Amino acid sequence: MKDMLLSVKNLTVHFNVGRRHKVHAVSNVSFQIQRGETLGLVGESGCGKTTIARAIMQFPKPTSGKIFFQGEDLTCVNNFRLRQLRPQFQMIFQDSVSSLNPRRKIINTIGAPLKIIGKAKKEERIRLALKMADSVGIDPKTCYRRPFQLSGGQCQRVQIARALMADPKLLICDEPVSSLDVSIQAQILNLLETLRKKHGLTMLFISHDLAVVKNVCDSVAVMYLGKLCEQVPSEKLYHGHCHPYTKALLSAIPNTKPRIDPQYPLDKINTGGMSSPMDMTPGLSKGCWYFTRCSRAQDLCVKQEPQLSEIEPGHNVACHFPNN
Amino acid sequence: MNNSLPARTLEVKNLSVKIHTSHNIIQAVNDVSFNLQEGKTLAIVGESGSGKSILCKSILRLLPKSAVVAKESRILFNGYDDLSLLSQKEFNKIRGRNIAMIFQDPMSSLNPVMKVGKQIAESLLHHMGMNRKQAQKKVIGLMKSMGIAMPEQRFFQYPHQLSGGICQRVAIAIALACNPKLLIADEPTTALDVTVQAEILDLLAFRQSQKRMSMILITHDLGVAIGRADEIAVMYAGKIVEQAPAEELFSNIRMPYTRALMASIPRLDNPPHTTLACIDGQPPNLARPAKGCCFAPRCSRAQDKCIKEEPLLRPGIKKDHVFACWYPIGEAS
Repeated sequence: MKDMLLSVKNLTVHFNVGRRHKVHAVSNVSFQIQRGETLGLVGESGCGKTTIARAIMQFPKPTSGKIFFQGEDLTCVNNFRLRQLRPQFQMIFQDSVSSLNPRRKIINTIGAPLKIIGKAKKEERIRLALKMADSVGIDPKTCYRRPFQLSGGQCQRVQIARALMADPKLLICDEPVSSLDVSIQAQILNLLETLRKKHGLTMLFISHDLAVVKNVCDSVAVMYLGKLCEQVPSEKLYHGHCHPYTKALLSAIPNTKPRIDPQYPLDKINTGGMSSPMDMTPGLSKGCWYFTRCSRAQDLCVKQEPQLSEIEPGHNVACHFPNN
Repeated sequence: MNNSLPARTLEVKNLSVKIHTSHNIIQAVNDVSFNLQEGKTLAIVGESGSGKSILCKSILRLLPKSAVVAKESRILFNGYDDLSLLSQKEFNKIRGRNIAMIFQDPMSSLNPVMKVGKQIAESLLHHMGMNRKQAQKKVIGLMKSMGIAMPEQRFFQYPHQLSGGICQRVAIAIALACNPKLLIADEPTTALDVTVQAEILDLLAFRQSQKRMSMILITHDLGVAIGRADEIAVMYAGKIVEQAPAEELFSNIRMPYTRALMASIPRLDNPPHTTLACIDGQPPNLARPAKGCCFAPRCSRAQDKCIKEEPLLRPGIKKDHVFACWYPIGEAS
């Protein structure tokens, strides 16, 4: 039996929009992360990546489904127990600048988790915060500044330091590099990799860029409109992917070769065909949710929804006509 | 460079911009020169703070009051001799009509309290002398050609009701409304998803080929630049440090900075948990420019000469490939 740190089963999240309507942000998603493994979660904006991350963190609690963290179901435990468990799973939020308190000095932001846990006295907190700041590459002088005096890359480092302060086992990174320059992006990705080795972290890494995810993760899960469409080990991502949406996402990565490389005729994303999660009600739309943009769509795709099924160990696809 | 080549849309000569802050003077753009031919795309690539946006805003005279353009700077545009000699009134006729710009963050560059249709129509009413009905018809056609679904309804919506991708399309529609000769796109896709990024860049390329428009594409992603531009200029610390046609630059990088930028892009063929090559250290402080090469403190090939003397742009084996480096890649150091 493998050592599963996190196991998500049939996770569903609905949001109420007005009195009558509901957005099905995440529907029936299941995945597992082994201890020490990094799972990448990829998809366009609005497909529910962040909602999954927040559901794991239990703010807000999911509509239905189970989330097992080290065998304990987080959706059932009471608030007291949740407070005890939370130091073990921490999150790096999207948009690093706005997720830091603008009025707090960096050193206090980094030390805040220790204060909440009640683990250390003030002097000890400052000492530990400075040590952590040093390990993420922030010099002590910067620690006494406030977020608006820092660059985007520095703010991202502060966020990483804050998340690691509680010494978590699971780190959820929500688009940690999407608003950064390419050169800063490389620095932050390398930093995450070093810290992952040093602290033995298990990570859930959210991004919309498959190239970034491929470099960081052991396994990649591709999402579309709140559902998983493919989960594939990252070595197999480029040549072994099966779902047409994965193929389309791969083709959107800017080519680092002049003009388009004719060697890989890839699917173009069908413009403007993306359905809104508002229209998607599980009872109403029977077929595959991707069929409006899919180049392989046939009659079966409209009538019947494909289920996520394993085609190889560790490689799951939800498509009626998977191929390469 | 001979004169039998296609007409030049834009020629920038010795452009320098200084920004006065309360403590010091920042040399944001330092002696930049380049040409842009009709129907071609020039990509300007660099890290944030390298002066890309200031350079382009100075072409359109959209700089903040604290910025001063040096006297010897000359900007020649398509028939007009020197843009900097024009009066404010004459310049207003060019801005938005002949030269248009797409601004960085579409969500914040649109007016939040004005319907998007009206924002696109503004330049048509102002420059083309259309009445409101004509403008509305033209705007709806324009929105359709930008790939915006249901343009009749979108016309009456506000920016906050639209997604990032649609906002960017609106911003492009505003820029393209008057069929400009030159389009300046300032990081048009930075805030967007990879898929939307590909769509927006395809759209720009399509419109460009239709109207024979010239384009300056500002980006920090060398991957985007190489795939989309004819010519690439790499900027560092307010200077152009390497410039070449895209294919030449891709196959034959000479400047260590460009190579470092290229190496920091995550690649699909890397195995999992790869350590990326990143550029250590911080970009230089432009308020206190160093004596030698500005990249020397972060450069792996730097030697004594790099710290003491500043390298000037010089051509290599090929005439159209210029770089500013004492010890370029491919030459024995």
